[in-house]
Amino acid sequence: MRRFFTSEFDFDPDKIVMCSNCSTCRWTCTSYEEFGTEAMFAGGRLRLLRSYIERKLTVDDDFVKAVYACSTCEQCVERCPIKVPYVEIIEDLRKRLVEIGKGPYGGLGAMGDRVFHKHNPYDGDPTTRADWLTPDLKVSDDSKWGYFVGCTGSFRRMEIPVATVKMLNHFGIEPQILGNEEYCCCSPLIRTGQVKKPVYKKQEDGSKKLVGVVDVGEVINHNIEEFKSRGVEHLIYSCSGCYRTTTLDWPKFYRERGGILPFSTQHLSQFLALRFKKGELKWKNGYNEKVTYHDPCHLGRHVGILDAPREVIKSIPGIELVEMERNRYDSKCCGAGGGFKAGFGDEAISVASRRIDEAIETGATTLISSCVFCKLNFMDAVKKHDYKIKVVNIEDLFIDLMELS
Amino acid sequence: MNQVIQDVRELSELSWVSSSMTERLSASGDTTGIPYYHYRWKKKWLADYVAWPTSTEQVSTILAFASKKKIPVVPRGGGTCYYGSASPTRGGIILDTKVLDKILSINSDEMWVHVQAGIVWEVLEIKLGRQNLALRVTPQSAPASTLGGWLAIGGKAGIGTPKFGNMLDNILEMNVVRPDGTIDTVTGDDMKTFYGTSGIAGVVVSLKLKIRAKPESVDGLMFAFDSVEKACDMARWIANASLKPVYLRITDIEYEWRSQGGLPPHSKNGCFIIVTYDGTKEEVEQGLKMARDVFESAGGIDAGQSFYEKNWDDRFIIEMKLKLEVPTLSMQNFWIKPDAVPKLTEKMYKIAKKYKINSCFYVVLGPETNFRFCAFAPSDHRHWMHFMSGKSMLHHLVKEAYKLGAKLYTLGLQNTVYLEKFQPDEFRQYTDIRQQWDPTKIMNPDKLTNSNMTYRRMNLMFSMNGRIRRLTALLRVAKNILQIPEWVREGR
Repeated sequence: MRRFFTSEFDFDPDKIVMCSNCSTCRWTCTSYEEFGTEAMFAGGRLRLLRSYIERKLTVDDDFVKAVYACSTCEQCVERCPIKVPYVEIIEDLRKRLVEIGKGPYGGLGAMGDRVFHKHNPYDGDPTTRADWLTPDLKVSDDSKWGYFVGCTGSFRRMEIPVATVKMLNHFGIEPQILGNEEYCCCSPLIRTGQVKKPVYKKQEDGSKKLVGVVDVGEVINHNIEEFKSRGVEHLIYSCSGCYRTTTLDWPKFYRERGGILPFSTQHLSQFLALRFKKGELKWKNGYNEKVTYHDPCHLGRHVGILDAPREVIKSIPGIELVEMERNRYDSKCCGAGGGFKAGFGDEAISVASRRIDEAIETGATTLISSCVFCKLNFMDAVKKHDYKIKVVNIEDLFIDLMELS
Repeated sequence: MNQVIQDVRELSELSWVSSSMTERLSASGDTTGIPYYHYRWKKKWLADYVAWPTSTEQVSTILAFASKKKIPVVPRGGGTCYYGSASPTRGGIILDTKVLDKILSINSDEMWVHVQAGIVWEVLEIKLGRQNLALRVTPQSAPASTLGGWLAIGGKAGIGTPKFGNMLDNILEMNVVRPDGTIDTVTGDDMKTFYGTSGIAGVVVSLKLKIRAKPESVDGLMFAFDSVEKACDMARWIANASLKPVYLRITDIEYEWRSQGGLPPHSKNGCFIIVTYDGTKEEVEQGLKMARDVFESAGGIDAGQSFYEKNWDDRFIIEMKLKLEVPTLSMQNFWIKPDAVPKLTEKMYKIAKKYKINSCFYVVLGPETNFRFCAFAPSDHRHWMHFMSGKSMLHHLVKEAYKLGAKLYTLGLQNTVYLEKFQPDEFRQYTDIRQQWDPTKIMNPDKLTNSNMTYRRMNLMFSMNGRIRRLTALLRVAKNILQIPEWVREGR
């Protein structure tokens, strides 16, 4: 047992020996497709970790790069004959690298600093967080419905929260939003291991002064307490990353009620599917085009929401939904998650381009997703390669067809 | 930095060669989940370089250079071999062939595909499937292994092999790079030099592989038998019938329980056959009817479609599922005639009992009524004595297997020591091949023609370990860490 422990790592040997290095997870791996080397897929990374531990090697930059060049899409877990929890292991490993001061990779550490200072990883001014909120959008202070906007919606793709609130308003819901009091959901920090990260300020003499510690638990508890104090019972999400983090990660950090959150969580695709089942969703217009749906990893593989978005899309009159070769649990990653886009920007766009190629192969003219981050990355790929395919999220389609735009 | 490193850097300033520790570590490892045990065998187990050539010319460049400088080269496919076939033992260059993964052309009239050898079997199957075509043979490691990899270990028992023969039978032509960097095209009997020779004669860069139309129907059945003898009789009968199955596997009760987590009804102390036919609907129906009639007449009991489907779905990851139960997969593979299977099984159980280890096995049908017999010694290498006892048990079994006329199925690094001892003629043949094509001995050193370990030393080590284990078992102090519950054995 002792040989699994070094000064740098103290991993559970049971987790490490589970992987037999059969490499079944290799060719479908997002980062292997991009980098093409044995260090860049789940089994290879575990082999690497094991070698570093058993040979008592010192962590170097290449090792850190290999550990961070993973989009945590969980395709590896899906492929694994015995479901080794690779992503859990990778996230633990990243956490450890941050603890020993060797992580995160490249500029990813800035995300933690920004969350500490501005409560979002984009360096956006927190006082402008709700600037997307136009007078025609109805929000309230006492609704039981809340809407967690997320940082990407607030600072990068503002059309998404606008569309989501319009959609909710259409169903008579005036959700509560936290505005300036909404902090990051912490998905980027948890995925990149910055669960507790010291934040330094550079002094004039070049030295660094510790100004505090970004603590994911505190940030998460702030959000939970805010929604709780406002009496929110149902929380809606347009971002799959935020939804996944709230559903699967927040309970681990919530100190009260044994981690049971004081509100229910619902992704907007689930919300719409439920409205459709209740007969409350009546489309004003049809969409006479061939479309394909991209399962966001955070929504599909991680949480298992695969049917709800498809039910909503299929309910649109005139629409023809075709599946890409790899779909549902076998869906390819868009390349945006797990800090991959932030750490490996060009590679992330290249991954998105391959997914768009797959979408185009189906003959679809529109690629639909239901994740803010997927859309952002696809849009970057479309812009870079001038693809002739429309990229929309379900809420975009909703407000267009319901003439709410 | 040594001379080797400087030279290679000078060679190319190549963007496709790396000396990064991370790349070298990950490319030097393989499926063996017990690295520190193998470090002892592998000596200089860490490569100095990893190269990812994307063309025949690049392969030629690196081999010519390595040959000139006498730097070891280890060609690497999927790295799925359990016996260290793609592991360095003297450092050198790992030649990762997986970048050579393009389909060059498909001829659906003559039914062949010209494809680069680094492509993963599963990927090729998917790509052919889009054109309504299919492979004739695939290994059980198809999700990860490459064409070149299965060729190098001498693949002969997998999916399609009972019907279409071994891998070599399905190759029309190969494009190879010889150890000195010469590019060549090889056909006919000359291709044998590259079959099962772990790359010592050079690197196969691309090959023309026979394909077929996608079968109209695929179906099978699974039957339980109360003895290995009966199951083997049935398997032989099925293998010799004019209508050949594409897949036939026999498993024992322990294997089935460990891999599937449950057992079909009526499976007390027996074993199982799963058999699959493909082709036209009529062919499949005819095959299934024949198999069912034969199995039922021999007293077999239908295990049910759901058990068949589960086993058929798991055909590619058959060994890996054992990891659910077993932390360390120690195994040995034999190439064996059906008559000898019951005897070897009997020996295996007998030795395992003495060693107090829960051994289990499966056999897969290859061409010409030969089986690949895979014996497991489930273990946990963190319990060192148990792990070493498992290895000793398998060593004991190898000696018994040779007495029964069986041979080792995969040779690679670890089994070369047995090759030298028990198959001297073949050892000599491999040495001749090495001498003819690789006189500088750079290609995959310590595979097939030289062993890092002497048989005498290994035999002494395992015999001593085995004696201690047997003694502790006799004195009832040997711990069996992976017991099968009694209720499973009793079929409850």
